[in-house]
Amino acid sequence: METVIHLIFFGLVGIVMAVTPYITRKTESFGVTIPEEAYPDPELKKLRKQYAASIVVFSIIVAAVFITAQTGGFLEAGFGLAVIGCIIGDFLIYLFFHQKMKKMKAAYNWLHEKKQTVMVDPKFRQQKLIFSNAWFLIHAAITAATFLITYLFYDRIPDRIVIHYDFNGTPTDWAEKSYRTVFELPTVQLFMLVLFIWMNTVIAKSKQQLNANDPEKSLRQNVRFRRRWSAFTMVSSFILILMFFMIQLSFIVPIPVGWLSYGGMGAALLILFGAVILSITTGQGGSRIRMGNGAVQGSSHYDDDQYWKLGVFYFNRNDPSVWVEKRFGSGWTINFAHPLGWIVIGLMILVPLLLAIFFSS
Amino acid sequence: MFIKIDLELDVPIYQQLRNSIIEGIASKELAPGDPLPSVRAMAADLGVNMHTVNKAYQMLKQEGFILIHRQKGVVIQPDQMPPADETYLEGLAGQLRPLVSEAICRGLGQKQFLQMCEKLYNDIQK
Repeated sequence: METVIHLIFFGLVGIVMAVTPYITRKTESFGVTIPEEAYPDPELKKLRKQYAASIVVFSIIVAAVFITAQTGGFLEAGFGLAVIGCIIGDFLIYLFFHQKMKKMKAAYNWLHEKKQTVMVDPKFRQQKLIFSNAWFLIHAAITAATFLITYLFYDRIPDRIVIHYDFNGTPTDWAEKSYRTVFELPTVQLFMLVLFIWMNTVIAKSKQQLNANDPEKSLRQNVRFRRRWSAFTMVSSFILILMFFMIQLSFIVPIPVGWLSYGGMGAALLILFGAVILSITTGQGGSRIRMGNGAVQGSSHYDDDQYWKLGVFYFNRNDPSVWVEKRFGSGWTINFAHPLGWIVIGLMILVPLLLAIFFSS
Repeated sequence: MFIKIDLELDVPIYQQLRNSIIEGIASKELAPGDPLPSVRAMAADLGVNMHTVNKAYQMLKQEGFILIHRQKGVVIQPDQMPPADETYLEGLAGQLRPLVSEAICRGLGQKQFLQMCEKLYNDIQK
């Protein structure tokens, strides 16, 4: 069972990485700005195919090595190592194609006579870009309920609480009951709630990035893109927060362990699959959403390659944006030249670390 | 309505931004009282320095095309647009003079020049 879950995980990661060049905006290829007309170029098509094939082959190798190692005995650490290996390997494959693409761009001398244009709709932010954060009141109510039942039914919680199950639903780790240990789960739940509200806010606030060649179309696509990911954030966070509530509830009222473990795995897979399907159908910036063309504005583009280190890390001191669309992938990334960007990264590492230290001591 | 900034043009970005907003008002795409993005949001969307946007907004404010409220933010002048007064006409003549001179040098007739002006008037106001 555990092996199956791990294989599904490797499969999903492989799919996400392999389809990435197909879901980016048509003005980008392997982290390099290209003219939209060049996207269907046979050479670029070949490059995308080669990349996807490399990722698939690499994923299969990692999975095979992992399973061999697993049958050999080192279980827990093996999976972590395989994940790290996957990340590094996929990135190196990307880098190879990024360099190739860069050389190709220089050789073709694309974008030479084109104008460097930025388009902005001043009324962009007056539209409904996300689902209101008020929806999170539902999530907040569940979180509050988790805290409340923990407090009210403290006496009914067993003296030793299970904090880890294996994949067959057998408890593998316990903690002595205390106010601190029983409130760990609700606290993590609260942290997740804050994180999701903030993510939804970021979706609304991130930079407006329109295709200068067809701003009307890309504007409509972009609004849909933001709304869809906002909805996804709402739903997936609801599932996660509800899961946490159910786990906590199981300490107080008996809930079959099978329900919890299958429910948990089901929920995780549902969210992962949802993210994959949403990425593929929507495309980065909404570029895969079918829509009628607007008034085409002629040949202009926006080439900011100089600010994209290795094609994926945005570093632009002149840009006050903190959040910008990723170039190679779906979703958003930070402007590493913005101090707030670093504060964000610091908090993302520090808060979970502090929580872990507080609850483990 | 789209604000279009050409980064390779010799015209400074703040000037282009100011011109775009004034054209938006002239074409009625930006109505009196309409909100504009804050300096920060506009700069972030354009990917330019905040000083650049601030400069454009300050110019527009001084000329009377926009208001900058502490709470309500930036809005298009809801009351009276700045009039075509003496000072404006003087400035306009000053700006037109080299354009007319160049047109004469290049042999562009008065009629053609005026036709172009008429066309621009119609295009923007349509």
